[in-house]
Amino acid sequence: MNRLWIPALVLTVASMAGQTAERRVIYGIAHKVNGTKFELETRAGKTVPVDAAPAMKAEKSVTVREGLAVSAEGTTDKKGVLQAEVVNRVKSARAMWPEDR
Amino acid sequence: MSTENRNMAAGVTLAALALLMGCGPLASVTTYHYDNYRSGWNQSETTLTSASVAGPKFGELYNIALDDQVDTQPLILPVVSVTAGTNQGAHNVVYVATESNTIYMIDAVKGTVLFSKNFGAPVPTPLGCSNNGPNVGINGTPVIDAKTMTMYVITYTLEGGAPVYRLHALDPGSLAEKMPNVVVSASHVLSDGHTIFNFDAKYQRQRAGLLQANGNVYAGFGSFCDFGGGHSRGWVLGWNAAALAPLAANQMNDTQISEPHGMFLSSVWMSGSGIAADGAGNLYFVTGNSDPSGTTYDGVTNIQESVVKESPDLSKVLSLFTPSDQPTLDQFDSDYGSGGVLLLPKEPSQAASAAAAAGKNGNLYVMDLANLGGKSAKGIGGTPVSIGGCWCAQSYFSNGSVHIVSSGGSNVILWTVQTSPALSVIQQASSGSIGGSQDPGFFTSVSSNGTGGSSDPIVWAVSRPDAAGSTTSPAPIGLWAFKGRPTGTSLPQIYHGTAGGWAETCCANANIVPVVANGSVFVASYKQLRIFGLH
Repeated sequence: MNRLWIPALVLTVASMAGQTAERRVIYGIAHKVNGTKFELETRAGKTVPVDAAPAMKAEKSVTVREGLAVSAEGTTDKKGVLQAEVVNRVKSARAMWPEDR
Repeated sequence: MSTENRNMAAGVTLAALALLMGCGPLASVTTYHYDNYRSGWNQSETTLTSASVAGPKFGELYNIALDDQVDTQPLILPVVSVTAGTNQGAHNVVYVATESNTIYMIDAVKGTVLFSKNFGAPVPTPLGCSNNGPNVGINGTPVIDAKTMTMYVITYTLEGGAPVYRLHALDPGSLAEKMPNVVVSASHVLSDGHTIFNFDAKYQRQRAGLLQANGNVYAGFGSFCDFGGGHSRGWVLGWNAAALAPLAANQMNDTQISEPHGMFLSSVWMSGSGIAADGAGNLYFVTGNSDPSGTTYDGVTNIQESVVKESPDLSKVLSLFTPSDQPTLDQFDSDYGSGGVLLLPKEPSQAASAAAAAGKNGNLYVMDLANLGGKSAKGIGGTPVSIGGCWCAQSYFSNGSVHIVSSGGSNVILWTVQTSPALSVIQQASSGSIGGSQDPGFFTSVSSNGTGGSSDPIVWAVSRPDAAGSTTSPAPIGLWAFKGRPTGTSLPQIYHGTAGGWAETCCANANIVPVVANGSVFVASYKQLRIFGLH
């Protein structure tokens, strides 16, 4: 039993880590910019809430303003907010955005 | 030919020795946009005429595979004594430097790789910035001193986990180091008179083409995506070319102690354009945005969004021009410094006496080199003309009158410089759209057979991609050619063909300069160099 229990725990922890630390890159247009937070309108028209505080703290964010095309890279927290660790300016033409991942 | 014009032609020199190659004198291209005026003009092209380029014999001759993205302009030396590799001897060589820190020596006539040398591992995606390919290695165009036969290049390498810039002096025949390379370092005293700010390679991008003038080599530095704005400031550094010894002084564009958002910047990047130099050796460059508050400009401790005239020893800003909408440019990241600066004469056969520069908002200002004009809504040419958004640089040619070739937006526009009754820039003609879905603008060059009315100028351009690409399926880019002599108000198109590909279409602009020399056109892009000519 003991020989099975340890790997199972490891698997469980690894699985949980995978759920919480899944890294995403989303492309879109910034709206409702308020301090470090803004909403990203994706190419599909969906709205993704973003907090760029981690990126700004690490000095890895452009200055986000209303209507700017950006990519936000980070992980989604329990409230569904993308905690962005990098915010890049991208081309205005949506056709030039790579696939979200 | 005046002394100034001889200086201008220094980049595109004729090699009498080239006669041994069985053809007329050959041109060399030793620096970004052909000369230190950054004219982009080769006035000694005798093979490619508007008729031959429009004809069925003109097209792609070779496609040479390279190891990475190319953000630098190819350089050309005729009749080089190649002493490395398996095909040694005299060759006309085109040099291509890649983002993997590899320099290729390619036979310009046969399209074969003669030799290549790698200078170390590049830096992957610096700071997470995506305004570049997956690697940043050699990002700024090298420069060749044809008199001493020395190529100067700055590599960006990851050493022990830390990014390092190194300045190399290479033998163009073998790419061997002619002297020990030097690590780029610098420091500058800030405006409080005692705080020392040190150059940090982690935060600085060496994007502008290198300049060789006054017995020195100069390089401009900016940022990666404006990231690390508290650590990144616009620098111009210089070294004695003979010993690679740093100059005693350096130029830092923002020496302030603090700023509202802590973003200093005032970068020198110019979409890859080279720092320019006039006949007296004074330097000219354009700076980008600083703190987004828009409140930090004073023209002394911060000279963002400006064309800057700098002394050859980098000890003094001699003059500057700052558009009066500088606060707005800062607030909206609308860098004036996204474009290069062109030096040009006001009249044919005169020395350079004017400068032209445009940035992201597409306003092209013309300035007087003697006094750039300070902070103003106007250049000496009056209110600016609109050329379209410019991540670009202008070209210049003269065929009896002085012309600026702008490449903002997606159109080539031919402008005529008039000096009477007052200096003005008049739109003469434009091309159709050449497309491109990245940031607006693109790069051009001009070839002609002489300087007179029958010189048959051709304007060459490379368009940015129209679609998203990938590393496995790069999006096509196009080579375009237009008659430089308009028909009415149009520049007739005489060629268009696919000239390569671009992988990082999301965020890294294809800032590709077509190089025309000795009957060939060279276009370097993602992992390839294509050579065009007459079949």
